[in-house]
Amino acid sequence: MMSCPGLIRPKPEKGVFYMKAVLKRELKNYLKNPILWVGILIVFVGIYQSAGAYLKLHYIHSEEELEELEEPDVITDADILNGYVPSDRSQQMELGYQEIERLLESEEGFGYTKAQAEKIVSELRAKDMTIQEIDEYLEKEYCFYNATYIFEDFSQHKGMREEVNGYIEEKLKEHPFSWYFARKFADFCGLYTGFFSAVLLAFLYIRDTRRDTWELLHTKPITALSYVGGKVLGGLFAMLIVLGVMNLIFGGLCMARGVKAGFPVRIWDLPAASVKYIVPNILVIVCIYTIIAFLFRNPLPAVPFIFLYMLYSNMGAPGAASGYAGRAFAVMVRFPGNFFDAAEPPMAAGNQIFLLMLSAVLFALAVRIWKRRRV
Amino acid sequence: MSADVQGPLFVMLCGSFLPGKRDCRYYGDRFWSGCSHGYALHCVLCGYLLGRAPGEKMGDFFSVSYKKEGGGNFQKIGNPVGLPVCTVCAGVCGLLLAETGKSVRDFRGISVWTVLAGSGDIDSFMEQLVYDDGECVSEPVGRNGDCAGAVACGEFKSRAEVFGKMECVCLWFPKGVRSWRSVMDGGKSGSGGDCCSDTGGSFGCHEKKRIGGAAMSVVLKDLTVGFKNEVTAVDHVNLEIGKGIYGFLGENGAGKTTMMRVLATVLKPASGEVFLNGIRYREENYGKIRKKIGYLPQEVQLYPNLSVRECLEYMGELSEVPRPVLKKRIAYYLDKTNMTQQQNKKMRQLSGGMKRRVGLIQALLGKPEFLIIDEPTTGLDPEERIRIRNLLVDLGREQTILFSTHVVEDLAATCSSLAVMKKGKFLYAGSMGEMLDRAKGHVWECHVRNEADAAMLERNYHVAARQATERGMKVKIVSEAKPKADCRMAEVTLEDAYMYLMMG
Repeated sequence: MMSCPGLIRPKPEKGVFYMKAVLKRELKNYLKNPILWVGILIVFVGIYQSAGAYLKLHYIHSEEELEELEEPDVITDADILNGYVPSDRSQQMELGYQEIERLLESEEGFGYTKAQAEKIVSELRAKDMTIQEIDEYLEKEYCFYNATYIFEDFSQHKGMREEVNGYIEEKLKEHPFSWYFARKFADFCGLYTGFFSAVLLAFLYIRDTRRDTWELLHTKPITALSYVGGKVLGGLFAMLIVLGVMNLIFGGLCMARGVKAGFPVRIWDLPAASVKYIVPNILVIVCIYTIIAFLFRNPLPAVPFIFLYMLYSNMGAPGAASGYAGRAFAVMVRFPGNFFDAAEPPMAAGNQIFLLMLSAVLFALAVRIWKRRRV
Repeated sequence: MSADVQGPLFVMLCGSFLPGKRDCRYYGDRFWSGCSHGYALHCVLCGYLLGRAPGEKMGDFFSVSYKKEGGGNFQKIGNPVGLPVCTVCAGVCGLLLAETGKSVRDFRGISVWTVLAGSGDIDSFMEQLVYDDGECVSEPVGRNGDCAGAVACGEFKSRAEVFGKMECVCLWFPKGVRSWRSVMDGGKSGSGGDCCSDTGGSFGCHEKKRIGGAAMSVVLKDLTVGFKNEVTAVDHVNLEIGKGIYGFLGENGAGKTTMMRVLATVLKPASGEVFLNGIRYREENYGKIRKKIGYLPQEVQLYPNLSVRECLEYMGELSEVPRPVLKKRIAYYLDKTNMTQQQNKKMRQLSGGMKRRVGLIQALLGKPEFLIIDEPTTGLDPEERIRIRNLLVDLGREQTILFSTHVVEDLAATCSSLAVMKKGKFLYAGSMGEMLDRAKGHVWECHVRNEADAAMLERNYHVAARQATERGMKVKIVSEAKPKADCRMAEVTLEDAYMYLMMG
């Protein structure tokens, strides 16, 4: 209808106003729900236990200090925090040969004499074989299995003070401390908030899907877009509260410890990593909850589904050439490996974009279902 | 009452010089107000003018502005098209006069804001105005002259409760009006067509209908509702419900709730048509329809963790009621249902009856034109039942209410018309009086000596009631013919009439 001179219809409130009303209601509900606060505590403890150790990283001032650093249970768990630095190839091979010699000599092992063991290792050195070739050779000639693992164990070694500090300095020239920590934070925060969202978001629709309330809601004039939008944003924002609190705490800790240790830090590294690696995951989980709640008129079937999805996402792709690679469509981005080597898994960015698109599709479907289920 | 004139802004009131024998209430919300800038006053109200110009119809005054001249006469102002929007024009009519018992002359020259708000504060009045566009939207008036024509009416119980329940009607384009000019000319002149299409903005069309005298109506045509298990819950039913309270009575499983769910847009009928004030129930219209209805289902638990107020605020927001209006409505209905004391209690702490009252309030928050309430008095104590019944009667003056209950007494106290359902069909649909008349001469009061005689009567007749007396037993029987026992014709109650109908 065109506007009329002299008499203009007052503008009605826009649908987005009512979407905001639903969103605010959901947020208030969550803020009053003790599970949110208990969950925040659990997530905090979980992240602190997993990633808190990285906050203790500092330059080593004395050899004694280096000695005092905690030794890992297994050498593969060793990181810069324990004073371990990556070995170059010659170091790795030399340390590997020494270990093979020790095993050949040892009574629990092969029981060769020292001379015999030295001879075998000399042969290996002379042939200048690759690790794989050494593995095959020892297995064939001496029934010595899995030599590869020995060399892998020595891919890093306990460094000297200068070596450790040099390595830290070198890495911090590439990126600030907060950049590395943000990846570890995103790794564990994504894991814990993912599982927590599977619990917390069950409350999003639990009341609305009761038969009587469901029916009543469907008689209300609020548009499907406003209602579903308000609900989805309500769930998302509730999880963003958790994420925000974690960012504040760990961002603050990272800044404080980084500055204290003399490391360069940036304030936006943690939030940026959260937005990139965690928010799309939460969004898609909210949308999955929404669509399952609307399909089954009950959000609870979403709980096992989300848990299974999380497990699938956590597994990582098998046989990935460069170590860890995330699963396709995963709702979790992991950053395994050492602190300074925590690279973004291949295709992670693409996967996150896919999750955003998937959320949009699920949201549109949910709106459609809500409309159709009205009558 | 202050007689201050608020500068150029004042209005005249309608009501006291109404034509014919209509009382002011009849024109309660049938106003028209047109405004333009540049004139001191441009508000025209119904009633008064009709009274002054008996030859003319209401439609002749559509959107015509009048200017007050000296001596209390009103001069017709021409076409305000093209003139800037005036700040606000408002008229008050109907119940204000009826309630205050004053004549329209008492209000002449008094600013409506002075009348309404006492303080004469225009801003506060503007904020309070609620527009019911008749189609769906209730919204606050825009502050910057968004709405030039506004009429406030409704139930102004007193100056102190001015905004307790107020309805303003903002009229735009009556049905069939093709242009603003034709509106200005009372629909007599040709089309100009620069403003509105002939479909006219839905609410203009609707308002015209209301102005024309057609009341809100619900029409069911050959309605059938079936379920997947091939049970037909409602079987080719026809019904027309007008303004007021319409009762639904019937045995369990008769199809009452199913029909109400259809009317509430929860269920889709298998066949047949349903119209709400001319709007057909179909997917593209559900949005409009839902803005007109309020629904209280048979069982509703709502949100146990929310307080009563929070719950109502949420439900009101889902009904798209603007916040400032919502707060006032919640306060009003909490008071009306005696729930003000409980407003901060959690829903889970409420008794069944209190929950029922909250359920009723949530249905009313959107100011529905059609209220569908399924057993609203279930679980209420007698005092609260009466309170709710009275509230429904009040609402029934303005709204169409469909009221289902098993408590016949509630129907008798509230409804003038009702339908009785059995196995998905109507046994009866019509006025209460006619239903009672049908049973007249078929209800008997018999006196028997003992239980054995009463039991014998029960074997042969439909016994509506048994009561032990000093002389033996008094048994009320519904029967076509006079029973053989010591019986005399009894006064028919609705319960008896219902029994008589159910006997077939």
